[in-house]
Amino acid sequence: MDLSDYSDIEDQQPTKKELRKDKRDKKKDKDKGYAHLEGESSHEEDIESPFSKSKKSKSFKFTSSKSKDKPEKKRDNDKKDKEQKKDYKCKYQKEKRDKEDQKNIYEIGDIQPVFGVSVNLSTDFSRCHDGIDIPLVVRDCIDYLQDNALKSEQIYKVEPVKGRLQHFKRTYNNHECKCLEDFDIPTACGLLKLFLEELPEPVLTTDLTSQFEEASAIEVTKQQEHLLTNLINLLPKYNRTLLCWIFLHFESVIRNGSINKMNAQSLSMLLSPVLQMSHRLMMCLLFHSSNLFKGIQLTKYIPPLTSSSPNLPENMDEINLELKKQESLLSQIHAEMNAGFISKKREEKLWEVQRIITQLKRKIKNYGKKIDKNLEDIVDEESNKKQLTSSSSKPSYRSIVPVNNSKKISKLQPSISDDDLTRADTCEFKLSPESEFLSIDNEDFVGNRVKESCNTILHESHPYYWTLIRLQIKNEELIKWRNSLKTTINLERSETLKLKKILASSEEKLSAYSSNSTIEESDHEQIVERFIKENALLEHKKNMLIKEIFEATKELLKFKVELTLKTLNV
Amino acid sequence: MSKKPAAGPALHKVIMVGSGGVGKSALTLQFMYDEFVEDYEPTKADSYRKKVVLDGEEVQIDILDTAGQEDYAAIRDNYFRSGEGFLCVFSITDDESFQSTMEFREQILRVKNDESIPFLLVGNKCDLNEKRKVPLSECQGRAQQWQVPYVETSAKTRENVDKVFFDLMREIRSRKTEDSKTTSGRAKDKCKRRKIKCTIL
Repeated sequence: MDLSDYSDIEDQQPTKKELRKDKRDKKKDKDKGYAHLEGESSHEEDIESPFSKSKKSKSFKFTSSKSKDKPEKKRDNDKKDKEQKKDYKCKYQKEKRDKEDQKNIYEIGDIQPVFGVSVNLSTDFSRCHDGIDIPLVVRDCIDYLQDNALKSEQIYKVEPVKGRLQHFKRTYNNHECKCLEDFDIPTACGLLKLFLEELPEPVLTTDLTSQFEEASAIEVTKQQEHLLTNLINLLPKYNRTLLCWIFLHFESVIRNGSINKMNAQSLSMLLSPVLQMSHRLMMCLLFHSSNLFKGIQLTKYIPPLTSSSPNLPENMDEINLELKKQESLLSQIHAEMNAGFISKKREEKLWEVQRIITQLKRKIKNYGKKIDKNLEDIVDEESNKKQLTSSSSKPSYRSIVPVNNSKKISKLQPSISDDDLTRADTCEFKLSPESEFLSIDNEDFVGNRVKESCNTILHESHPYYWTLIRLQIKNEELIKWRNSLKTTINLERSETLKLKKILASSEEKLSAYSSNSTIEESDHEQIVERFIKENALLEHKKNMLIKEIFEATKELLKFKVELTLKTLNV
Repeated sequence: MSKKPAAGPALHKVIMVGSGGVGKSALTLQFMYDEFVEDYEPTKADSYRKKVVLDGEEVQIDILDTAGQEDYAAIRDNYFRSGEGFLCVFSITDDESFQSTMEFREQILRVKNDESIPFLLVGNKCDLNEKRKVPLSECQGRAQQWQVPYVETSAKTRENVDKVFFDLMREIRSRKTEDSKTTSGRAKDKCKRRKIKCTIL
C-alpha cells in the first residue's frame, strides 16, 4: 500500500543513476586530455576513491560525507544499493509516520542533489522560479557577487573557509536555501567555483568543447565571433543560459578591473581550469562575451513571496509574474513530495503556496470583473451621452422654445457640440502621436527584448524562428495600441463627465428663462431640424475619420513590425 | 508529537473532496466570503485560511478545495496526506457524484490509514429538492455505514454551510485533544483502527 506511492520513483532511480554514472565515465575519459586540470583535481580524487577521502572534505565529514559518499556508493554496487535503498525507504516511511519532523538519515540532497549532477538535473532540482533556467545556487552567487563584490579585491582571490563552503553546499543540496544574507565574498566565489567544478560534464559539453577550442584558435575576430555564436546555439538550453550568466558576470568583474584588480588574464588563469576549458578559449569568450550574449541582462532574483511577506502585488503584470513564480514553486514542491520527501515543513509550504496562488487568482478574477464593470459603465455613459445629445437637440429645445432670444440658444448649443467634437478629436489625435513617439523611441529595445525571449524558446536556426519573432513583435505592438486606446477611452470618459456637468448647469440656466416667454413653434422646429442634420453629418464624418485612423494605424503597425525585423536582421 | 502550533490560535486543516461540479468551490466561497458563484469553473486546487470563533475559542481554518476531475489525481495525494478532516461532497441531483463518494472515501483512508479520520458526508444543492436523484434514506444509509454524520447543504441559500465546517472543526479538535492525551498509546490505537477497517472490508 505504501510502496505503491513510491514505485515509480524506484523505477526512475536507476536510470538517473546510470545517467550520472555514464556522464562521470565520459568525463574521466575526457579529462585525460586536459593537462592543466591537474592542479585542480582534488575533486577528481574524491570520485576515484570515495573511501579514502582527501583532507579537504574530511574536515567536514559530519555534514558532507552523506551527500558526497552516497552517489559514489551507488555507482560502485548499484544493484545492492538499490535493494538497500528500498529497505531504507520503507524504514524511512515507517519512521516518518511516527516522527514526522525529525531529520532522517535520508535527505532530499541524497536523491535530488544540486551539486555533482548534470546542468539539466541541477537546474530542474533547484529552480529559479522567475523563468530563468539556471540552478538557484549559481543565481544566488552571481546576484550576491554582482551586488557586493564587483569593487572588492577579494573577488575570486581569497580562499573560502572550507567548512562554510560545505555547509552551503549541503543546504543547497537539500533545497533549503535563502542563505544569501549569510554569504561572504570568498564563500560566494568558492561556491560558484565548486558548483562548476563538480559538474560531471563541462558547461560547454564534452561533445562541443573541442569545436569551441578550435574556434578559439582562429585569428579573424568577426569570423570567430560568428563561429562561437553558432556553437553556443548548439548547446543544450540550460547549458547556454548558464554559460551566458557566468560570462556576463565575469565580464562585469573585469569591467571593474581597475578597482578590484582582477583583469581578464588573471580571471581566466584562475577559472579556466574550473570551467574545463583552455586559457585561450576562456580569454576568447571573455573578449566576445558582450556580443555573444547580446541583449541578455543579469537580473536579480526575487524569490516567490511567502505568507510572511507583507503584501501581494496590486499591479496586473506583477500579479501575473508572481503567479507564475508561485506555480513554478508549487510544482517543485509537488515533485519533491512525489519523490517521497514528505515533511511537515514541506506540507505547510505546500498549503501556503497554494493559498497565495488562490489569492492571486482571486485578484485577477476581481480585476477582470472590475474591467467588465468599467466597460459596462462606459457603454452606459455612452448611451447616456447619446440620449443627452439627442435630448439636448430635441426636448431641451422644447424647454428652450419659450426663450425669446433664439440666437442665444443657437450659440449655446453648437458651442457644446463643437466642444464635444473637438475635444474628442483632439483626444484621439493627441494620443496617437504620443504613442508613436514612445514606440519609435523603444524600437530597438522592443526588438532586442523580443529576440531575447524568442531565443529561449527556439534556436536561431529554427525555421519558425523569424515567424515567431514577427508574431511576438506584432503582439507587443498590438498590446501597446490597446493600451493607448484604453487611455483614450478613459480620457473620453472624464471628458463626458465634464460635458455632462456643463450641460446640466446650462440647462438650469436655460430653464430659468423658459418660464416667462413664448416663441413661434415653426421657428423652433426649423432650428431643431437644422441642428439634427448638422449633428448627423458631423457624426458621420467623425465615424469616417475614426475608421481612417484605424486603418492607418493598422498599416503603421505592419510597417513598424517590418522595420523592427529589419533592424534586427541587420 | 505536538501537532498544534506552539504559538497562535489552533489551526485545523479541512479538505473538500467530491466529483466535479458538485459545488465544493461554491461551498468554500460561500463560507469564506459569503458569495455565491453561479458560473462553473473547474478548480485545480485552491487554498484558503480564515479566522473563526469555534465555541468561544479563536481558531484558524485552512480549507483546501481540490479538483473533482481525475486529471489532478497525481497531486491530490500530497494534499490528502496533510488534511486533518474531510468534507466529502456530492450533489443530491446527481447520482453518479453520490456513487463516486465511495472512491473518495477509499482514497482518503488509503492515504491517511485511519478509519476514524474526521469526515462528513455532504449532500449539496438541497435547494434543488425537486430535482433530487439521490433519496435521503440512501444518503443516510451510507453515512451510517461509514459511521460519519450526513448533512444536506445549499451553497446557494447558505443553508447548513457554516454547520458543516464547524461540525468538522469540532471533530478535528476533539480528535486532536484525544490524540495528545494518548500520545503513548497511539501506536496501539492505530492498530485498533486498522483492525476495524479489516472487519468491514
